[in-house]
Amino acid sequence: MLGKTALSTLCASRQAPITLAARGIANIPAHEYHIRFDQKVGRKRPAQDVLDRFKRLNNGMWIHAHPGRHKLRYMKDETWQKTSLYYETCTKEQCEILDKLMTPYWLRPKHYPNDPYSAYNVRHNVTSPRVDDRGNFVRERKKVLMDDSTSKRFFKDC
Amino acid sequence: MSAAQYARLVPKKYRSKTLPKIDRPWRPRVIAWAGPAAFYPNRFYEVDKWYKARIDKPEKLPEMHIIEPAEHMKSLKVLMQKSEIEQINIGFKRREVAGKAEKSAEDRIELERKSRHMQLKIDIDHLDVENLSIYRHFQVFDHLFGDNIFFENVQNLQVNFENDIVVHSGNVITANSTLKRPEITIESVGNGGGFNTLLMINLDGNALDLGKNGEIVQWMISNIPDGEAISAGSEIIDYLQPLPFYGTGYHRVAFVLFRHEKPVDFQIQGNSLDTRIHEISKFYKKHEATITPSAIRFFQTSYDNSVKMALHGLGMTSPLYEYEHRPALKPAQREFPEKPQPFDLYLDMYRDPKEVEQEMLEKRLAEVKLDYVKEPKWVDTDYVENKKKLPAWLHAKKLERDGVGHAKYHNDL
Repeated sequence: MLGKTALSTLCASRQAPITLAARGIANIPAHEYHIRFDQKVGRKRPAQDVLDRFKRLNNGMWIHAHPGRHKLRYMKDETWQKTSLYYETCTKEQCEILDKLMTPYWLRPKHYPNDPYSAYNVRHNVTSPRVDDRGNFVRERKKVLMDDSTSKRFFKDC
Repeated sequence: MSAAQYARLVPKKYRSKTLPKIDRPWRPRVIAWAGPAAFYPNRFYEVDKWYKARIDKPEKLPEMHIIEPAEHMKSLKVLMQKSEIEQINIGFKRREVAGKAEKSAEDRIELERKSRHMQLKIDIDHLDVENLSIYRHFQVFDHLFGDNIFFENVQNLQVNFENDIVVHSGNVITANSTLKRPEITIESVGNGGGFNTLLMINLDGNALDLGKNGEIVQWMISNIPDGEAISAGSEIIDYLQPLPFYGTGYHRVAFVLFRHEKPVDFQIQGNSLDTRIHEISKFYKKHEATITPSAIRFFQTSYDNSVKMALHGLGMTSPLYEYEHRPALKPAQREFPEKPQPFDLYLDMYRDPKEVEQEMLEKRLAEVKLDYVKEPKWVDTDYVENKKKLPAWLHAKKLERDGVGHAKYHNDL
């Protein structure tokens, strides 16, 4: 009895609220700063801004370059010319926030051949609650070793 | 001008009431909301905090100097002179030199003519080159006998090692040249009597951990009759070459000649290296009534391979010493620094020194080649590309000269 146009109109009106209610990357609230569960992947998504601007050493320290260090250098004094090229450490609060914005993959220690950062990936004489009684950093999550078939079956997206 | 004078020049009456009593004619009327920028004459003005204090800036008076009332008559040169400590002469008085004849006028004219024609020859061997200030500079007297002690060279003492190496006042002789005992020539006093005793002392050789103070006696020959060779004396301590250990730098080795009228029985031994350690000041104090120092010579020597061979001959291994620098002063390490720090410089401060040395040695071994090594002309041949690609801290590490480049060409590998 009902026509084709009426049926399509009814379905379209029903789907509209679902599309509008979905959260995109632009609609993240400021107090969260990161996506807990991506709607496509179904798991946490690292903040791309952090990956673009910061680097994490294997001891949990984050370092970053100075913003604007390539702009208008000729107008600035000698001290700024020198110190603007430093890669500086982040404070404790910033490191905690940056750790929250990352997925466990990026928090894992990574080793590269001929890594210039290899000498700085370890800390000497640091005693803090982040270090357990065996001297390991608590927050550093080791990779679980498993066979290839199991990893392909359950962790193909790692 | 003062504030009162300025207030008289202001045409309107209300300004003189509200102005504070400071010398700031350009201060605007509105103060409360304007902020510090309102008090600058222009934007290049230096910020001066005293504008808010409502008091005048304190005047800095020039520094005054204290003048001693009892010494105001003395000149500055007199006041600046250091007081000279009295030196104690424990040796003999210097002999009168045969009178140096004054040159006559004809001789002076003849000498000047020869000098002009480059025919004047000076016999250097006959010049008097004795200078005790070298011994004072190297503290030979202080370390042998005590502070403020000296004595004159009244007997000509000649010490010749092989290959015609002569011991003067502090010249450097290699340890390889001191393997054999030197030839000693002692000038005779001419009285026909008396005896000489020769000691060869290494002032800096006591580097063993034996807890004994003193110097190492390398050689001792006592009771040498005056005018005869040293073989006529009795050799109490056998000759041992000076042993400057690796890393201990230059050692001062002194030849001290003592003179005495009668034969003296010195109760002193020197069979092994540890029994050779004696305090010369105590030795001299013990025999002070009998012996008097009459001549001294010293040279300097440092480590080479013959020292190692000599130590192996004694049944010892060659000890290696190095300078122990004081630890660098660093702030306490924080897991997360409160202020941003350059991470490479901050973490390099607290790295293990052994790890740093190992890294440096690996770099040296990677770059040292067996063929002829020449320092490169450019520190970074690919500067433009590296400046773009590398992070700035890595490029700075590549460009530094005192790390890899300096150590590569200034090490003993």
